[in-house]
Amino acid sequence: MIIVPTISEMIHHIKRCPPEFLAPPLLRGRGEIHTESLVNDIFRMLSGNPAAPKRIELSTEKRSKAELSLIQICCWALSHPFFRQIDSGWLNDVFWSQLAAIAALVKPELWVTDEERSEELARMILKCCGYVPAGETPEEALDRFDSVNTVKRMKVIEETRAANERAQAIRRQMAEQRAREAANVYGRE
Amino acid sequence: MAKQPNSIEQIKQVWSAAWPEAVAVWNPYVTLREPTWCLASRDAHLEGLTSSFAMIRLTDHRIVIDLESVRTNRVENCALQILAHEIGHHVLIPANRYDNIGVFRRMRLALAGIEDRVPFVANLYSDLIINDALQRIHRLDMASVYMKIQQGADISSSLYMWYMRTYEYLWGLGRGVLSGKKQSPQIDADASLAASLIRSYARSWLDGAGRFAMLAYPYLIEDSEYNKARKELAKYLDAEKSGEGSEVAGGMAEIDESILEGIVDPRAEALDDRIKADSGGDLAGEGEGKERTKPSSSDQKSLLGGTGPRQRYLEPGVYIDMMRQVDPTADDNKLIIRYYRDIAMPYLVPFPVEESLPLAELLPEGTEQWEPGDPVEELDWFETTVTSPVVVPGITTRRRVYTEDVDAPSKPQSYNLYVGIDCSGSMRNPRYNFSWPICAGTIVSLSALRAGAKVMGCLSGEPGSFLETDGFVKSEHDVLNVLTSYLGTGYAYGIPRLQTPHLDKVKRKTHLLIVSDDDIFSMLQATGPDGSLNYDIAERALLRAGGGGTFVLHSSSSWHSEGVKKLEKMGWAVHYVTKEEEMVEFARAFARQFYNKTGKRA
Repeated sequence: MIIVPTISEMIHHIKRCPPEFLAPPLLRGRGEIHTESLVNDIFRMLSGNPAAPKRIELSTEKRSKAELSLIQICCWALSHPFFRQIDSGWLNDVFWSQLAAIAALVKPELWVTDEERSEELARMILKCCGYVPAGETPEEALDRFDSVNTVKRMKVIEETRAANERAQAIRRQMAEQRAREAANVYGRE
Repeated sequence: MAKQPNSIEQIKQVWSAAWPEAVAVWNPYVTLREPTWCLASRDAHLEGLTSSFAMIRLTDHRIVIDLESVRTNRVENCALQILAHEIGHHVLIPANRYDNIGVFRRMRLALAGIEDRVPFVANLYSDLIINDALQRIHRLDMASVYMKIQQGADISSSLYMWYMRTYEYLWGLGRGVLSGKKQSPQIDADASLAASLIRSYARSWLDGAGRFAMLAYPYLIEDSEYNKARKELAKYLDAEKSGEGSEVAGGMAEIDESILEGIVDPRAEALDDRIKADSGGDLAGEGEGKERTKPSSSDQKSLLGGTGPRQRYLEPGVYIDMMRQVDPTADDNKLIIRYYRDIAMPYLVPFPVEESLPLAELLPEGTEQWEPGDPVEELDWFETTVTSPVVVPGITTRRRVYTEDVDAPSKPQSYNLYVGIDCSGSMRNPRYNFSWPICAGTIVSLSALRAGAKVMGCLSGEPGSFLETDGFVKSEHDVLNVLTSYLGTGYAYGIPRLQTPHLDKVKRKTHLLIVSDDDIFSMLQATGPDGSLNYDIAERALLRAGGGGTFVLHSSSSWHSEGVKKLEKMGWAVHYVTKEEEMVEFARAFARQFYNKTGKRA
């Protein structure tokens, strides 16, 4: 029987990420971690075949540093015992490719320091492998993922950017008007 | 499940029993008095508690609980959480009057044009910080309290929805448990940002206050939306008036630039962070040409309009407005005195002393009034009780006066100071506009009082009216109260005021300081009531006072050069103070004028 972790357990696991996984990825001769090797090691561990040939091509030179850092953090997240119980077929190039969009929106260290970002990462991985966190219904899990989804939030902020800028313009006008009024008091005396 | 207390008396017993545990949640060594328990809402109204079922006062460190309202809101079983929350206002945020104003200062900058909403937003912010700390760190079930209060609540304002949705984010509650079912994607996004902000600034909550207010700003612009939200959230407003009745805190007139750094819209910051994360990606072209949305602090400062030395101070009107928001009962006079005092303090100068030769043998001469501020050892209790068996300091208290013996070693004795302030229509009202001359006058007066001198202040706008202290006094409040008042009559300081009998009676040398503008030369050329020329009155006063005289003018040195020469010939020093450099130069010159003569200091 597969025991799916609760979301709190997954968050706790992600937040315990060792500093080695947070070290700068090796990119164009700079950095410490060879991300592609790490990914393939994790794949070998999850597939239970330590001697399997390299299976996942990351093309690291086409990826950003932030994306490679997120991939490394994902490798740590996947070291949770739960992922050894399930089939690793989902862990293919498609998964590793869809991290680019989100990586561009969040500073890498926030994935392991910010509670909400850790939750987002945990929910995203569980959703990708097709499982619902223990104690939640699929609807609840989906709603909660929507709530913490950075891509979605940034889309809303972008969409409402004009309205916010209008509000800030009003704020600025009001401050300027107040400054003018203060300067004019002498004139009215 | 805890047994439901039925009567108000039972609720009081249960809540009173929960008090020590609630204190221990924060720290068992916290010493706070047990709350004022109001059994009926009308008693709570008398304590100033009108909309919520609990409130705090920073003035006397009290908590007031309206038990009747507790029952109405069905939270009688939540004593521990609610009491711990109220204690949190005393130990975490705002904790003290100084930090309370700190939150207000930051939020006022963010809520430009709608500053009247600051106490409301500050209350919501502090509640979020406290409740999240209690739920997450102290493991108290705050969520259940909110669920009870929110049960069946009618939520129609966007602000209320956003605020409750933030709690749902913070505590991982299902959508709509507290915020109803009408959220929009925008409320979701803003609540997510607010939750992150509350967590990020849980410890340095002062720094997060401006950002929180910026997040709330769009929900507060419309009066109707704000009024609706205020009505709906009234039961949660327990700290809006927490600073009422407190003493005026010092150091609040200055604009702290570090505050300006925190006036940032988290939405814009999120977009900015996205760029930063992206540009950290080491890919060619990333992050280039993208607009940075964070406003600079200099941009913010230009909106704030600093005044005074280095333009680092709020306008007096803005300062009074802010301080009255913290404490609506604050006295305007006290506020403006504190304002000029704060600005003058860094510039205090050594005040002149004369070398007297008294006291080898002390020969009693008689008694005079002992005033609060005089050395206690000089108080003559025998003469005091002879005057009246009821001791009223400054009224019935006496001290012995001794004659001087020339055989004794010398003893420094400070000069007295007479400050005459022009309060005619041509002078700026120091309550509305920062005034350099008043600032200079405050510097010299405070310097004199610090040196142990007595000061007499005279506010004069003549012909018209005048206002002066009751002779030479040691009370800082009395002196600064005269200095910062405003009459707006006549055209200049009335030189005949220098004929005051108080200048006849003084036993010490007295320095005369007249603060005016160039209209003073018209006044000097006029004749006094007794037909004598005011120039002559000024000359005689200078001789009588014996401690020199200074004119501080809000004017230009190129005007009235003849009049200035005449004054200088008499022995008056003339300074022009219209900007900071001149004020600093005046303070330096004032100190030099005396210390070079005695050779004691350069």
